[in-house]
Amino acid sequence: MFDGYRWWGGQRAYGIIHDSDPLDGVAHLKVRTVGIIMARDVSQYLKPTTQAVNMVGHLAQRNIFELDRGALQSLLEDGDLPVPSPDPGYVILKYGGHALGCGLGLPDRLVNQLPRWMKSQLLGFLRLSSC
Amino acid sequence: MTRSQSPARAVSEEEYNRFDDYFQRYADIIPDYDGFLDALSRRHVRAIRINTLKTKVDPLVRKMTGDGVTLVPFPTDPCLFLIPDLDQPGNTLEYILGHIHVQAISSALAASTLAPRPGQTALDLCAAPGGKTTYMAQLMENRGLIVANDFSRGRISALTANISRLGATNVVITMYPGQDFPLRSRFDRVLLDVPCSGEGRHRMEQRARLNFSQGGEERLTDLQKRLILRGFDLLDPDGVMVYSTCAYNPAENEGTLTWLLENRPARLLPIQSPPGAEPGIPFWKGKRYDPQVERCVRFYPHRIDTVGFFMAKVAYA
Repeated sequence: MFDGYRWWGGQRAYGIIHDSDPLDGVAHLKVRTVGIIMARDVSQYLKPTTQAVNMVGHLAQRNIFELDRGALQSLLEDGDLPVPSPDPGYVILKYGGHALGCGLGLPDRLVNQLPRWMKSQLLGFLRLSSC
Repeated sequence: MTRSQSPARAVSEEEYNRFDDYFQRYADIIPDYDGFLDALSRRHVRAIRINTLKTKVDPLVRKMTGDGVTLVPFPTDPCLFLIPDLDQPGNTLEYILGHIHVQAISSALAASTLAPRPGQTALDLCAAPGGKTTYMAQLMENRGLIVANDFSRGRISALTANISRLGATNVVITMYPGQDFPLRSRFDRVLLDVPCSGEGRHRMEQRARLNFSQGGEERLTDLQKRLILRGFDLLDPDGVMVYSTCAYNPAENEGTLTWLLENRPARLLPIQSPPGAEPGIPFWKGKRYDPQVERCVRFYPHRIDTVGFFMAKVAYA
């Protein structure tokens, strides 16, 4: 999956950039970001980023939570769903077959971990598609 | 050419006159000036680019068309589509997942004119918010390297967000003033979409601020000249640079290109442009520009329903 990519890590984040010869040629530059961040250290867990889930979440075979329309709306509006998770930790949220991002499965509920921008746009999408 | 027009909106005579007062200075270089003003009374039809880093064009077109979205193909680019009846493209699953990006036709054409290839090195010197950067990554199939530079701290977050959402994995972001970008590297492709007056973006419904000042123009063109020299100095001798603005003012466009041609061993290349594009202006208000500027292209909103735009393609002489 990640053949041809170079991984980097630092400041509690881990990312990838496509490996290429020119990459070393710009080592003298003051760089702010490199490629895409794939995961972050959050407490004692490694949390995949939304973009990582978008890119490779379709390959996941466990820790997946498929949301229907009503569940997605409730999760976005209320911030969580009263759905227990037998195996607490990060789960992949799917809607319509698409991997959206992460949720956090706890013993008594599922907590939304989607970024704020995605939350408002998903709510807009749900509102428009119900018309 | 297939062209969609949004309906004319009622604008007040006051607003119409305000725009006429501002743009009158260009009446002698804009063909069909009255048609141009009428076009400014309409909202331009928006467009999307299908992001082939994350999806494929044909299946997505079938899906969106099946959902009732009208997609009008743009003739010279298979990834670009006009969306005449999609009011909030940001509230679609396709946008959220990074399968599409809302982008002005003129903006997309700057990246496709530059035509970076997989494996090359490219520099986007004034990159934020990243529409052109991410199209470059798409054209490069995420191979090679793009350095996306922008000095504006406030716009870097939008650049980062778009790069992530659209899955561009061959980009590093830097934050130098473009005119001071370090000279140690040379790039196969340089894109220079400079800070400009932005007058090409103004439409009457937006109640835009239309203030022309000589001092403001001089400060802006001084910056544009410094940027274009730096952009050229960062170009590999076999490379190509695209300079673009969303301005009609020849001082920002043909004037800056003439400055470059006078100060560097550069030449302007012809551009394969869509129907409706006009050539660069060799003479305006007593100033004569280098004759090569006729190889540049100008987009006017009544000829191509997009943001007003100027583009030049540069190489070593």
